[in-house]
Amino acid sequence: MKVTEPILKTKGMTKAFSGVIVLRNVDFNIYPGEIHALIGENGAGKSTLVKILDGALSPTYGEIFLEGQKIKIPNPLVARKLGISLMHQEPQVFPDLDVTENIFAGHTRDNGDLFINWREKRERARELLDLLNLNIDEKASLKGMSIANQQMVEILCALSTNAKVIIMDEPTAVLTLAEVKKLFSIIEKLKEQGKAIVFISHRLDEVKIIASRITVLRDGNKVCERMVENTTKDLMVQLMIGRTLNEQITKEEATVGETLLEVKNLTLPGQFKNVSIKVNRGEIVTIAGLVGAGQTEVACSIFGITPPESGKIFIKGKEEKINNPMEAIRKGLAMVPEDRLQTGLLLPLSVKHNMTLPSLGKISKLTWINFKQENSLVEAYIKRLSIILRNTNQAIAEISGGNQQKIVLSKWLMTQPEIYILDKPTRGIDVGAKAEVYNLINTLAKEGKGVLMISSELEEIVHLSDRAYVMSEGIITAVFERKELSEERIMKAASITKKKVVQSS
Amino acid sequence: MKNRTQSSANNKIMFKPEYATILIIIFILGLSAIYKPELFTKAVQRRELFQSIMLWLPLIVTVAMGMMMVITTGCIDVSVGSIVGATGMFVGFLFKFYNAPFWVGVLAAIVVGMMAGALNGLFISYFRVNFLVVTLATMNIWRGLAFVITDGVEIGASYMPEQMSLLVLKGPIPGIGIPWIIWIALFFVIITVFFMKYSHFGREVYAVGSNENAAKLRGINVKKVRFVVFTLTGMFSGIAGLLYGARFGFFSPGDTGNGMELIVIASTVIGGVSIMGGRGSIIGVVLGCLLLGMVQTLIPSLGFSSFYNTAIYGLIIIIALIIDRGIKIRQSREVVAKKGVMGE
Repeated sequence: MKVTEPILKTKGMTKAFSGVIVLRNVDFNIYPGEIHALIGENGAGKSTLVKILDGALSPTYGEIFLEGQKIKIPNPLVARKLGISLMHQEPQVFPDLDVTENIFAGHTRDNGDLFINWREKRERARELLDLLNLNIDEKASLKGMSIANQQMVEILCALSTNAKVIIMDEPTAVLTLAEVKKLFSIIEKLKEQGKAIVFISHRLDEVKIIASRITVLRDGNKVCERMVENTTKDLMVQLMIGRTLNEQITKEEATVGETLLEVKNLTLPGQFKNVSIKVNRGEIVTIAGLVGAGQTEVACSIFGITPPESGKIFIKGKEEKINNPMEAIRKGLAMVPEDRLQTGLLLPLSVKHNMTLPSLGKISKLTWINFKQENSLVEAYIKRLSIILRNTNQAIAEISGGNQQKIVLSKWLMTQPEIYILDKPTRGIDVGAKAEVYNLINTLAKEGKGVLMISSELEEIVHLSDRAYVMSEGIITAVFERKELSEERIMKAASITKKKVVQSS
Repeated sequence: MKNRTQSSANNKIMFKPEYATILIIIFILGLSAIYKPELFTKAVQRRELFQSIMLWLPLIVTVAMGMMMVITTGCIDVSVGSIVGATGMFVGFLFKFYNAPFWVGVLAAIVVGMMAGALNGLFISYFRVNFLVVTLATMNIWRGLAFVITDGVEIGASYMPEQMSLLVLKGPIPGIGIPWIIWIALFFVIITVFFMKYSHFGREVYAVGSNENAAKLRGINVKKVRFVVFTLTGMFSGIAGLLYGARFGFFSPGDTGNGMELIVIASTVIGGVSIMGGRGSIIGVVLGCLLLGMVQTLIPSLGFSSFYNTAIYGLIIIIALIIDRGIKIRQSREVVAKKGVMGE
């Protein structure tokens, strides 16, 4: 490997969000003509780092150098002008415009023409499409186009602005195997043209195939930068996880009883297939897997938000049809959604009103709410979950993420369900609050409830679950009982791609 | 290759709102012919009907060119009718009390209209107030000012310069009886088609409406685009205010432009401009205007009370929105179907 200077590098890059440091002193080097994989667990700081390079976030401390010169990137437009292009996980395209219009949207003015010469633009688009051997019509509408092709259009947009550095944030997460192959051949071509590629992926197999250099981030710190050829997949996993066990997280003994929830061969085309899961009284069961593997979709189907197309759901041994969340709640289910800000809470309302919303029936007579009863109920749960607030009339938006999560939990606790579906309950909350959430989950199990938890955090899966189902690309690839659980095993099962599934079955 | 055939097949099944509009126009004409044949068989009546549609159409079309852009960016402007009224009254006021020549009236209509539109744009883009709230407020402000200008008194044709009536009576090409007012609207349509297709700004309007976030990431100044779009809509409404006086021979604070926002929004939505933004064909909008203009003229001609008019516009908007929604749902289903089942 010849020695070259990095085309783009960061020095001491640090980012803090309201006091929480998510990126600490990271030196990231990107070389021309090289594919550089950026890997790390969820929340390790990968997205934050690339968003800083794209100008979407501004660093708290730290410097960026482009071709040896110190630069500032205040917004994405500047990043584009400097030749840095970020491709988001979800392609950011214009569905109502055609391929050519998409490629040139936003920079038709660049060559100083008074009006747009569409003939020339179409020719240029054709050239770019041919350059990458793409069978896409330059006049095709983006509406209804596959995500893979939308991604290609985004790559072409980057090329049309002469991007030198192309950052791809989990580009393969939404692609099929054939599409991934195609993408890789395109990435190779870009590499040959001397572009610097940053490739973010959770799929270590892919990293092994495509990248020549990796940088590993863990909890906002750079663990190492090394060449891929002398790094095994197991070593990558170790580097990514590599922290000491947290003694606080452990499943406490609980008596396991009857089966509360069982689903058999649940299928929703395009989302997941043949998913069978069992939750017994007193158990904590997790669905593990990478982001987008279909776990959330399974949970939504069980809870009746998007009912499955086929498959059976049994609650306490009785087959049930759940067509909407109301029915699910009536049958003793509760679901804490992943995105508490969007779907878990009503932000303009107060803490109190958020908490009692699903159980208003219990504290009201006719239609009139018994305020005294409401207050005492709210106070009781605030005490039980040690939620920190100024008062119960405070707006929910003002309090911290951990406390917000506890309020979402207590909201459902009040309805006294028997089966809890928790979608990434510790996402985006700090360590202390996490421990409290774990305690609460443990308490629920001890009280004889059933908990079905979705998680992408290996540590909590291993230490908390009685049983873990691992999903990848919409199917369950492995089931581990408590004594079989290990982070490595889960990681491997979660990164199984279609090809391997076919081989092993 | 696969993709090419896929996309061309896609275009074939794509529902074109223009076709539907033409069909509805023919259907309504057919119904009217059955209900009251003499409207079409007697030359005098036929001519009268045709004239009243064709002279009303330019006014709606002119305002609709602006409304199309506004709706394409994902907003809506309900103040256009009042801007038509206020600029009309202001122009009439200049004619009556200052004996202003025709060109001053034209200039005033353009400037006042633009200012009114810019005010909308300023609040919506830069003060981030919801577009409905802003235009609802300015709708009342301008209607109120229309009354204030002359203390509520109408301004008749006798005060207007001669050119005003010539706009409707004479055309630029001798021998062909197409009056100026139609040529003017046609000119606006052609200019708008050209600008939406070939100007940087036109493409940016579509981009903002199609995916605002992506537009921002591409460095498009979303605020500026919206500001300009509202300003242009104001300008078109101002010009329509002047044309109103030419068409009807009077300016009235209560009547001029009254309810026009509803007609124009209905025409635009019927024309296939998605209320969610991003999509819009100008020819479709012109056809939508034709449909609405026709309905409006036919209702009294068929002997129904014109009190039905506004109720019918409202109904038409709802029907158009349901169709729009239907298209959206079908398209998203197609996308899901194409993705196929994972794991296969």
